[in-house]
Order: sequence, then C-alpha cells, then structure tokens
Amino acid sequence: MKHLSTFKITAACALMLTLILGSNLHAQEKKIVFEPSEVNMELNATATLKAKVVAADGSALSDTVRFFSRARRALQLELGEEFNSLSIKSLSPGEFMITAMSIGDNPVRMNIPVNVAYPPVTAVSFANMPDNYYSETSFPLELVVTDASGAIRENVDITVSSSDTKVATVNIFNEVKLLKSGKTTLTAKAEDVSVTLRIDVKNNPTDVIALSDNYGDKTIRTGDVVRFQAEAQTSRGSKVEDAPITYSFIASPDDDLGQGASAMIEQDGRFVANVPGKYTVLARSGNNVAEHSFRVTYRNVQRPLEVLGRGIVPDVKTSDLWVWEGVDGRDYAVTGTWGARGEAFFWDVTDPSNIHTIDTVQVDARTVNDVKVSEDGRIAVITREGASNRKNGIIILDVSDPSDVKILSEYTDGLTGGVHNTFIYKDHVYAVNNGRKYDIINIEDPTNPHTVGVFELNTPGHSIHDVWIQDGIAYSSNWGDGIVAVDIGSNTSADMPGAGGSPENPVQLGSYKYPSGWNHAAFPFKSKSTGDFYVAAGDEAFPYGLNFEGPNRAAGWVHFIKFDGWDKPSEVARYQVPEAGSHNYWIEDDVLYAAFYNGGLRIVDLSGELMGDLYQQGREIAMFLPAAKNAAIPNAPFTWGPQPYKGMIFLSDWSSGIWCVKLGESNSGGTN
Amino acid sequence: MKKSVLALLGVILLSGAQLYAQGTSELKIVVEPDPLNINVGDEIQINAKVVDAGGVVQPDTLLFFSRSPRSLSVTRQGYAKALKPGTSNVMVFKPAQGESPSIRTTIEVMVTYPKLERVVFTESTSAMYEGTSFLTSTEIYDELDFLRDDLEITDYRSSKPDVAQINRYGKISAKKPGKTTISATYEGITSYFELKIEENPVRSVELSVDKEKARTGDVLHLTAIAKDRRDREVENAPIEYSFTSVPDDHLGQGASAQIEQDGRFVANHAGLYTIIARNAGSVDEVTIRIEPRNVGRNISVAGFGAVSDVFTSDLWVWEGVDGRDYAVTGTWSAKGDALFWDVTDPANMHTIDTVTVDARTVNDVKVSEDGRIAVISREGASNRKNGLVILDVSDPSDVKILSRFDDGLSGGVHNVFIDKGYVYAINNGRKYDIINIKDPSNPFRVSEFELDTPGHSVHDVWVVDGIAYSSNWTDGVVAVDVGGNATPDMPGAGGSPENPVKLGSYTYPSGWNHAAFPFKSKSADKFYIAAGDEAFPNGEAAGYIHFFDLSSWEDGNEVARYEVPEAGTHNIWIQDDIMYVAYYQGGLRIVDVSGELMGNLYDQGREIARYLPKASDGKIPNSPQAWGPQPYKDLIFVSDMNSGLWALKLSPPNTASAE
Repeated sequence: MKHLSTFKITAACALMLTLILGSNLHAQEKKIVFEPSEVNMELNATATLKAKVVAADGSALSDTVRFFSRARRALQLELGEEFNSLSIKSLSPGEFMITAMSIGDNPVRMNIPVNVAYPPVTAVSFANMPDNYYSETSFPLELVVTDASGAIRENVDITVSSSDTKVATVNIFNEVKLLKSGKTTLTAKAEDVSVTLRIDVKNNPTDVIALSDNYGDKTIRTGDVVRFQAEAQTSRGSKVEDAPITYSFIASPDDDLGQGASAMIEQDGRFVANVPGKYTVLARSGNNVAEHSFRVTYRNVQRPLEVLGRGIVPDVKTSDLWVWEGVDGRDYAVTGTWGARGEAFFWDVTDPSNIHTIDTVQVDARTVNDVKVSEDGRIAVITREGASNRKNGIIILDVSDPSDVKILSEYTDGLTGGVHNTFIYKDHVYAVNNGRKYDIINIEDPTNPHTVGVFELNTPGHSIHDVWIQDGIAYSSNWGDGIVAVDIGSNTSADMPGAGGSPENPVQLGSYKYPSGWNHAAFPFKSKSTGDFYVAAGDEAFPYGLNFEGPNRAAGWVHFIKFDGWDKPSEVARYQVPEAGSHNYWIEDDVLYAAFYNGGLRIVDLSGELMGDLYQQGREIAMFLPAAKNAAIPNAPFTWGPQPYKGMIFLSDWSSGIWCVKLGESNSGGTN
Repeated sequence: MKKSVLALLGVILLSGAQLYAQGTSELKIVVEPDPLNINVGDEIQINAKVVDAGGVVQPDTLLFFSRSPRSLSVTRQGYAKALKPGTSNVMVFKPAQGESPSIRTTIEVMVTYPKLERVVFTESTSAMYEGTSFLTSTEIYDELDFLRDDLEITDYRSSKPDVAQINRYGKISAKKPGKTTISATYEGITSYFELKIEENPVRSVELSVDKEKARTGDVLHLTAIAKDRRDREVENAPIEYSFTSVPDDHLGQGASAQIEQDGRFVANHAGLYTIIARNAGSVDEVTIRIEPRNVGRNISVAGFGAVSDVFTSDLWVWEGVDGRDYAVTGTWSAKGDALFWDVTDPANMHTIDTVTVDARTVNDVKVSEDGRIAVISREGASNRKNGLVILDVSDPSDVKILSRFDDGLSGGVHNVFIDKGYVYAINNGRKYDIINIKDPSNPFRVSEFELDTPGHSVHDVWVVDGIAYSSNWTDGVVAVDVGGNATPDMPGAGGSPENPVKLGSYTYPSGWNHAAFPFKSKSADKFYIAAGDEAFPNGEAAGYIHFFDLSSWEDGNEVARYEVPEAGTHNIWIQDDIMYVAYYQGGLRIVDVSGELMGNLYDQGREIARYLPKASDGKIPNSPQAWGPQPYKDLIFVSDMNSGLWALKLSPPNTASAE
C-alpha cells in the first residue's frame, strides 16, 4: 500500500487535472495501449490494468504512465508490481473512467472505461406510506430497492400497478391517484423481485380548507419567504390531521411581456417570488381548494457603490487579503501573491484613497495563498506552496509594525506538502495540510510553534481546502465531503451546541455535502432577522480551464445550508451569479459580501428566511467589477476575497490587486 | 423638435466614455429655472448658459436632449413642449471645443398631472359560475385622457358580498347564485358593472396535455374540458391552471417553471411537474416529465483578424464574384475606414483593401445579393456631408468608389440595407430613405418612410421577402410592405419601394428597440419578429431580445425573451431556428429558437454555445464587446468593437462538454 497515497486524487490534483486537460497535451502521434482494452469487474473486486506507450509505427516506448480517476470514491487505484501496471479495487458499482497519461516529451493522454457490475436486486419495499388513503387525492410512491450488496439502488426501473383502476391508478412516474373509496392492491416490481400492498381508500372527510400565512397585511417583497399554512377541516369544523395538501400558485407578474418564471412554492407551504406582481396561492385537498391573493412588490435594496481607492499590483497575481487595525491605531492590509515570487505585500490603508505598500516579505514559495492576522493585530501567518526545497508550511510574522515586518519562525513540521489555507484563533493556527487534513498548531510562543492536534476525515479519497473558525467551532470545506463542523473549544456564544472539543481534541459535530463536490469555502452565520442558523458553503470550479495570462471564467455558487441541529442540515437556497463562479466571501449583519471571480464583488441582502436562488429575487445590493488597464491581467476582473472593514469593503483581485469600496445610502426610496 | 437617435447614442456613448468633466472643470452649466414646472401643452424655451468659476458667462453653444421625447419634446436649441404629464429629464450638453472639455448637466421638468376624470374596467364580466374566480383589470384616466399607469386601485367592492366577493387586487370570487354590483373607486371616482352569479353546472374537469415527456423550453399545451352531470362539455366554464414541481435538483434551486392561464406551460429545469386544472370544486391533474434540453455544442475559433488601433463596427460576409469568401468591416469613431478581408481560409483571414471616406464612423456596411456592390454609411464627416458611399466590390482587393449619395442625408446615415437594387438608408435617425442604385453610379431617391408619432426616431432597417422591418426605439418594430411577397399567413399590402405601405408595429415599454429580425419558425407554425434592444443605462450595455408572435400584421404579442443577465444586446441574425446574437460584453450567443417560444429562453437551457471574443492586444484589451454576427456557410462570423473580426465554428450537435 505504500504507493496508495500517491495515486489518490485529491481536490488539488483534480484541479490540476482540469488544467492539464485544458492545456492541449495531445501529441497523438503516439498512443497508449491498454490490456485489457476495457475493464469489467464485480463489486469489491480487484483487477489489474496494464498500459504501454507505443509509437505511431506500433513500436513500444519506455515512457512511464501515470493513472488518474475522478471516481476516487468508487475506484481505489494502486501502482502494480509491473512497470506501468495498475491495481484497481472497485468500491462502488457503475461506469467510470480512468485516465492514463504518459510522462516526458510529447505526453499523450487516453481514457479507459471501467465497468463495475451492479449486484442483482434482492428486495423492494413501500416506504413512508400514509396511514389513511383519501379519495380524490394523490401522492408519490416512495419505493426502496436493495441489491445483493445491501446497497440502496436508485437506478433500477420499477413498475407499479393497481389491481382496481376504478379505485386507484398509478402513472408512469409512480404517482398514485386515489379516485374513490374502495380497496385495491398495489404491486411494485424491480428486476425479478416484486412486493404488494393492499390499501383501503376512504372518502375524503375534508369539506373546507382554511388557509393562513405569516405575513398578514405586511408588505411582501421579492425574496420574502411567505409561509402558508393550510388546514383541512370537516363539515363540522374539526381538523383532518392527515389530509394531504397540495400547494400551487397563479402568477400575474407586473411585467408579463415574455417574462420568465416568476415565483416558486414548496409543498410545505413556503412561497417566494422573483418579480413583482399579483399572486394567488392555492391550497388543495381533493376537490377542496382555498386560495389567497396578494401583491408582491420590488425588494428595492439596491445601493450605490463608490470606489475609495485601489492598490494595483501590476506584475504578479494577487491572492488573499486581510485587513486589520494595527497596534498604532492605523489600518493595514496584507495581500498574498499567486504563482509568482513568494511575496506578501503589506499596505497602509488608513487613507483608502492613498493605499500604498509599506513592506514586502518574500519567502521561498511560488504562491503565498493565504494571509491571516491574529485578533490582537500583532501576529500574521502566511502560507507557502511551491517552495524550491519542498519545505512548504507556514511562516509566522511579527506585524506589530507593519512597515517593518519581522519573520518570527518558519514551521514546516509535517507540512512539507504545502499549506493552502490557515486560520488564526486564540493562539492556534489551523493549517490545511497538503489538502488532506488540518493541523492545529499552538503559537502562544510564536517563535516556537508546535502541533497539538490534527483533524482528518476518514472517508475514501477525502480532501480539504479551507478552514474558518467562529465561536470555537471550525468549519472546514472539503470538496466532495462538503462542509464539516468541528468543536475545537466552542464557547457559550456559539449559535449551536458544542461537544466539549478543544484544539488538542477536535470533535466532529456535523457535516453536509452536495452533489457537485465543489465545496471550497464555508461561512457560518445566525440570521439577525430570523434567528435561523445557516452555513454558507461556497464552490470553486474551473470547468472552462484557467488561463494564467488572460481573462477567465469560473463556475459554482454559494449554497445556503440551514441547520436545525447539527444532524438536521437542509440546503434551502443558493446565490448563483450566472456565468461566474464563487470564491471567498464574508457575512456580516445579514449581508453577504462575495467574491465571484469574473463576476467581481457581490453584496447581497440575506435578511429574512432564505429560499430559492437569491440572485433572481432582487436581493443584490450592489456589484463591482474591479478592472484596471495596468493590472497584471488588464481589464479582467477575477475577484478573490472580500472583507468588510469599518464601513468599507476591501477586496483582493487576482488580476489587479487590492481595492477599497464603500456602499452609499439607498437612493431608491425602497421599502427595506 | 424631433430628436435624433444618433445624437442620443452619441450622448450615451460620451457618457460611458467618462467624459464627466463636471465637478472637475471650472466651467458649469446653469439652467434657469431648475426644476421647471409646466402644464401639458405648454411650450417654453429652456434657458441655459455656461459660466466659469467667477460666474462669467461663456460663449459656448449648448445642446438639449430630452430623455423621454414622447412626454417632453425638446429641440436641440432647448425649445420644449409638454406632451404628457410626469417628470422628464432634459440633458444639457456642451461639446468639447479646443482644450475646453465637454460638460453636461441634467434638469428635471415636471409636467403637472391634470385632475383625474374616470376609472375604467378593462377586464370585466357580466356572469360567473358559482365557485369560480375572475381577475378584473382597471385603468385610471385624467381630464386630458392620459392613462395614469402610475396609480393602482385597491378599493374594490361588491354590493352583495354573500353573492360575490372582490379583493383589493380586483379578483372576484363567486359565492352563490344571485346578482351584485362590482365597483372600483379611486379618489372618489367610481366605475361599476353588474354581475350575475349562476349555478355552476360543472361536475368534473378532464385535463390532458399534448406531451407527457418534453424538454426544458418546450411549450406544452394543456386542454381542460369542464363537464356537467351528464358528461356534456360546459364550453364557457373558466379553468384555473397551476402546477407543482419536483425538480431533479431541489437543493436551493430557483423558480423552475411557469404556466399561463390559457394553458401554456414551460419549464426551465428538468423534473416532474404536476399540472392542476380547476373549475370551482372540480379538479383534475396530470403529471409530466421534463428532460434537459441538451442542445449544447462546442464552439471553436476558426480564425481571427485583429483590429487593434480602432474600434470595429458592423460586418458583412459574402461570396465574391470569383467564388472566394470576403468580409467587410466598418470602424467606429476613428478615421473613416472600411476594411476588406479575404476570409476564404478563415485561419488566415487578412485585409486586402481599405476604403477611407470622410467620416469618423463607418457604422454600417452591406453588400448586394450579387456580391458586386457595397454600401457604407458615413457619420461625423468633416464637411457635415454624411450620407452613404457606393462601392464596386467585384474585386474586393481593389475596391472602387462608384458614387457618393448625400442628398438630404447630411445629418448622418447610421444603418443601411440593400435589397433588389434599392438602398434603405436611415436618414438622421428620423426616417429611412429608399434609394434606387440599379445604376450605382447614379443613385436617386424614390421614396421615404417616416412615422408620424411624436418624437419618433428610427435606428435600423432590415428587409426580408419585400417587407422592411425597421427598429424605432420607443415606436418599436414597424413592418412596411416595400414589395412584399404575398403569403397566405402574412399577406402584403401592395407596397413597393416607390410606395411603402405600413403593415403593423410592435412596441414595448422600455423604448430600447434597436434591431429587428423576422423569422418563420421551421418547427412550429409561428411567425415571429425578434426585436433587439440597445441601451447603456449605467455605462454598461443592457437589454434583451423580445419575441413577438404575429398571428397577423395587426396582432403581435410579446411572448418570450432571451435575456443574458448583466449584458446587453446588439445585432442579431436568425437562420434555421437558430438565433445568433451579439451581446456586447456577453459576446456571441447561439440559441435554439425552435418550437413555440414562451418565457425567458435564457433560463430554459436553449443556449447552444457562446463565445467571448477578446484579445490581449485589442483596442481595449481583454474586453468582449460583440457588435454583430453573421452565419455564413459552415461558420459564424462576428465583429467585435474592441478586437476585430472573428470566425467561429460549431461542433456537430450533442458534442458539448457538460457544464
């Protein structure tokens, strides 16, 4: 197993692979020949793949082949004993791809399919069926299919039939329509396995629907989530507890000239509109319907934005920033640099119209990705990647005089693989170690740092990108594993209960992952206006490649995860700027400050309950595209990170440097 | 009195070019009085002057522009006439002279609202069935018969609420058989109608849909039949349509579909949708599956011709008389050049000739159907003789000027079109002249077409099948028969170049109409006009493509749009149910416009490909500003203001990388 770690595809590798794929390495006069030409295997089995690089005339070459797979949770890859051979262990069934790439001159790249067979279905069952079946209602069936490996299968065709179609019918989408009182048998079949369920349909006792909402006569604006509550009642006024209710709506938007979709409603009664207009919400049980009409007005939260100053970095790309009040009461900022000479720039930003560098620290690195400053403004930590001697790790600085920054110590113990991000919290540095885990380093004596704890997931192929700490809880961002909350010394002000953790004993509290696997940042916040606790989980993705010399386009968005307890996360909303991609962000007083790469800085109203795509709801307060002719990449906004600070917003931009902007007063006369 | 669009654009562009010397200059514009208050019909001279820091009046000439010429017409000399009530802005502009910079200011002119006169029900009904709903609609007019669309009535009443109720939004709920009077009141002015509620004969509703499975963007048609207790159809029973959705991606996804009350439904996202049709207590539902549209295709650059020293304007690509492929591009705010390119090998496109005329901008370039004659437009000529220049392009490497035509066109020609030996030339942004060029060395005007609306202006004209489609800002798209081919569905009206006959017009509220492209759908029995915007409301381009569905020349409904967020449209081309649109900073967009259209096509997965033209050594580096597209043979050519001429190639269908 000694080679295993080499071939695990970390998120960093995945990014690198994306870049490689985008960089036209196809010198296809030679090719890679596989044996076998296609891998077919059983689940939890091991197969061997051999690769050979051959010239255009068919003669074998001695090029070394490297193997990659994006399906790192499904396939475990290990170098084989023979030259250019690979041992594949199947962890999940399905169809996957392994990429092989030759090393050296004129590299070639080829894919080979790997098919891991699905085990046969062994059981089908009806799940979460109602206690009572009422005529004139309908409901979707939940069917659970299990295969021989014990896995729940969602890719199996299931057919369902009803023995008496006068009582109930089942459509091709496995929705049951209950037509009248009586009994019928539902039969569900998957592969060769079937199950039956006898149901007794009763007359719907509902006579009237009472519909209420939580807004009353209050003005409803775009983006406001209105909670409708429908109660089914009998003719005598008693509640029918289990009568199914369907919520729908009718829209009459003010702009009805080819307007797009204007609103959405969930089946728990939550409604939100994107555009102003008149709306009617309908609540229905069987043939009983109640409706409520209301007007939605424009949210009107836009504010003007003024550029107060900028510090253009014309020769290298800029990475993260931190802004702080120095011990002398003046305001300072530090920015990192990317793919360059290992510099961190220190700026005096007291007068934002005259932002200027006052010191530069240069370390042995290509990238100083992250920069952080301690709460007391005396200590800074910068990260190193791409050091010439492969000793990466972190550098601890004395920034009590930012015009004369001193290196206090260099800490590389176990961190030689590179540190991408850090966070300083209560005399400890949380350092993302080689994209796999984070180390917790005591810097009470900043000249003598030492590791006191480590947090690492145990999921297959796990990787981590960042960590952020609030109220003693560390929120890490873990690509395919999503956000993970860990108690590292939670305090009583924490919005959610802790579990007795400490820097020496980090204790996992909860996690949430989403399908894209693009989780790159996390920011927790308790809504000032509702008291709800959310974690904003941000993506990073470059599906279109990354051009180091010109404009780029990123993808991804900010996911809003509402936690009703560490074990009850639900993804309820997003903020998705079309044709741009999220990077770092900050949330303060129900306002989101998000760096959206080519989409620049976005300032977004997060007040009230969140639901749907906030971008569509008129919640954007302001936007700003930092661009400069004399930037490292001219006229190409690629915003890295924001920081609200003393009524201003500072931001770093990959292409151009550091900027300071300020929101003006609303001139819209709105209702906010 | 009529404002030139060219002038408006010029001001917009000047604004965008950060020529705001106001505040940094010692000069300022003083307008008296500011603000101005006048009544509808009043005519006044706005007085403005330029003063220096010491208050000394300067001899500079000032120009005046109304921001809303339909409400307040203003001559360039500042003579204003109030046409409609409300607040209008007037820009006062001092052009740059020598070292004295341009400055501008904006004043408000308030045209007093006349007294309100009447309330009108525009949607009402005399009879309803018990248990059903009806949404009324009202309008308020003042004494001068102006619609007050800034006011909304909320005081609706029913004389017998036990028979029918009406809510503050004007929606009536029929409660039981009987008669009632429905009223709407605003500031003491009331309108009424009588309403009879009848016993509802409907006992069931049967809902069907024309497809059970469809793709995002496909417009589904629902048919709900209301039946009485004997299973007979109740023909006039109102049906209320709504839906529930279970999108495949339900993790914070935005709004996923929309339904109209005429039974049209379209989805943005894949998933399961249940449509509900209801009449009172009779309900039916049907579930449909929506799949991803899956029309994405890869796009690649086949060639690029850099123009780095000046801004590029429009393009035309054609097959020359020698069988080779050529293009011509104009230039904007520069030296008056038109560049001729050999694009036969797009990977090696190169200029082969340049024609320089006395102009700052050669905005438009067009080539005749036979590839022998080109027309280029002139704006900003030093001698103020603008007009158009007719070229012999039978040898595009040796282009010859055949004639100049500036008779009556000295105000500037912004756009032209060549059709069957005639040039349609936009004359000073007010009308279009029709010029016979059958003898290209001896052009002569045969007619003109001009609207008679107040403050009208025209930006562009495009001719297809003998119908001229002009783009007229606030007057929208206007279709004019200039020799139309009679077709059963859209007949002409006997017009000719000598006798243009108006067929219809299609306006929309923003007043940003800048381009128009008609197309008969290949896949649906529909005739559409795509009406494109141009606008720079905050210095950046905005606006979208509006789709009008025409059942006749008199009946055009705006049914759909294609709106790229945070970008703005410019020129468009539609061919074989594919739209190619230059979206300024949004680059080139290639969009599937097949089938019936409804809602915002951008949200529906209809985008086939996009390309952002940009060059690190462009006139403005790294900044896409796509001007115009032209599909040509198996390529798409695009002119880009900041970088030059591009040739792009789409891969075959269903080959796009997943986004």
